[in-house]
Amino acid sequence: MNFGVVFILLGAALAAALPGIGSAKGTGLVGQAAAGVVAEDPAKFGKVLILEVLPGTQGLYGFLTAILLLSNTGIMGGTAPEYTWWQGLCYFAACLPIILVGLWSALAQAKAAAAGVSLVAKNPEQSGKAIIFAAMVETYAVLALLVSLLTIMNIGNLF
Amino acid sequence: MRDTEYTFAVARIRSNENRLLTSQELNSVITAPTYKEAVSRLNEKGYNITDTDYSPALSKRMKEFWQVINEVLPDKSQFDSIILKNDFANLKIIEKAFILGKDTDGLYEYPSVYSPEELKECVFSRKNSLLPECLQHADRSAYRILSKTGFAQLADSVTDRASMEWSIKTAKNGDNPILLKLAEIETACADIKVLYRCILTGKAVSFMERAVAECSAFSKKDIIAAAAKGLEEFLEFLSHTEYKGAADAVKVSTTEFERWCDNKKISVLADTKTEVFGIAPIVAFYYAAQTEIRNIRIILSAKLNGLTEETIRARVRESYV
Repeated sequence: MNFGVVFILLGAALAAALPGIGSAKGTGLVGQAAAGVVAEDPAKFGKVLILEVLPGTQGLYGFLTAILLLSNTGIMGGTAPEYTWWQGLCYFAACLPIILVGLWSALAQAKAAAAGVSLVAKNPEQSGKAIIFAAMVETYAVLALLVSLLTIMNIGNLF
Repeated sequence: MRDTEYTFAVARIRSNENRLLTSQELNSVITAPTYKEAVSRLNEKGYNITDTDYSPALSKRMKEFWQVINEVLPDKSQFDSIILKNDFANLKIIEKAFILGKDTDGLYEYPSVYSPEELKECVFSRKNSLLPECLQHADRSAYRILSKTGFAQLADSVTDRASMEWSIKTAKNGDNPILLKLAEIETACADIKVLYRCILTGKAVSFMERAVAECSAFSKKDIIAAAAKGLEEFLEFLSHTEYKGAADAVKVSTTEFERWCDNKKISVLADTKTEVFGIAPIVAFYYAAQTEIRNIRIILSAKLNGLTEETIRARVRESYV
């Protein structure tokens, strides 16, 4: 049995699923806050929309990682060679940064963005600062994405 | 409830906080040279005061603020510990109206958990068992006292005590620290106020025992023992509790004491200014709205009576916004 592929598929599935869950919960939370502000003042829709979008990026990063993994390992094209269990485990490990950081950073960013929505509600002129505060969390999701992508692209040299 | 379930509510409340007067705006109303100018400055912030009878406009404004809270609260029972005291106040009004054969129109406290008209129907038909559980015992006690002795002050004190004890009980059931803290402050302040009056009017210890509610700030037994010894002992007792400030304020006047109590509640709520989730910002908004209405009432009344700016400042409560 090809256990290596099992680990690769598990990595791809979790990379797409967990950051996706974080982003779904995150955008949902900020969406509630944004709806509260827009209910009082529809003119603030544009400002709060940017904040709502921010926690959604981790889901995209996870999706990107999963696609790259499936493509690089040949699973997507149907040309996948035999992978040993430890080769599969290496690919799985490469996905871990975006799996873990993607999930937690989306949830943390949602809280920062929801706080930003409250800031916009009280003081619309400060929306730029609110976006910066929430965007700071993005740094760690981007770093995790880079580590996952670079590892997946270069891991073949190890075998 | 999980704190994140209040996200929509808190965002709407934050938007509505812009409708409240800031400290600067309140200051500009205080410094207005005339009543007319003060009203004009208030009307710019959405108050619709047209003449010297400002009460209807203020009541309408408070109803608007409450309407917002009522709309956004995911679970309305969370607010019971705060507004239950208005139901007890309404019960007192209804009891007296029943005994004296008077009307209760326009006297009810707002907002309340239960409909005052339904309470009135139960009291006037003497169907005590149809009253909400929290009001049944107070209703029985107050009715017995009023009908047998006509001692309205005792009836009021017994009802007020029940009100405080049920507020604490409801807050504990809600398992929310901010609501419990506020209920504890309300109760402690009410206890201090009633005991201070008891000392001034020479009431017996038995009256004090029936009027004072249990709270965590001090032991009921100890504070009554101190009050029974006189004013100095009572104030000395308070000076060793977290209500030392209350003792200092009550020495000045009861108005200063009431101001201190309101400021204490606002100071507890000040920390919620940065909170994004949970019920605390909504509770803070309610108290902020109440404080604003109270402040405006004080300012306009003072302007009409030609009181000085200094006198007004001594009475005005701290602003939340």
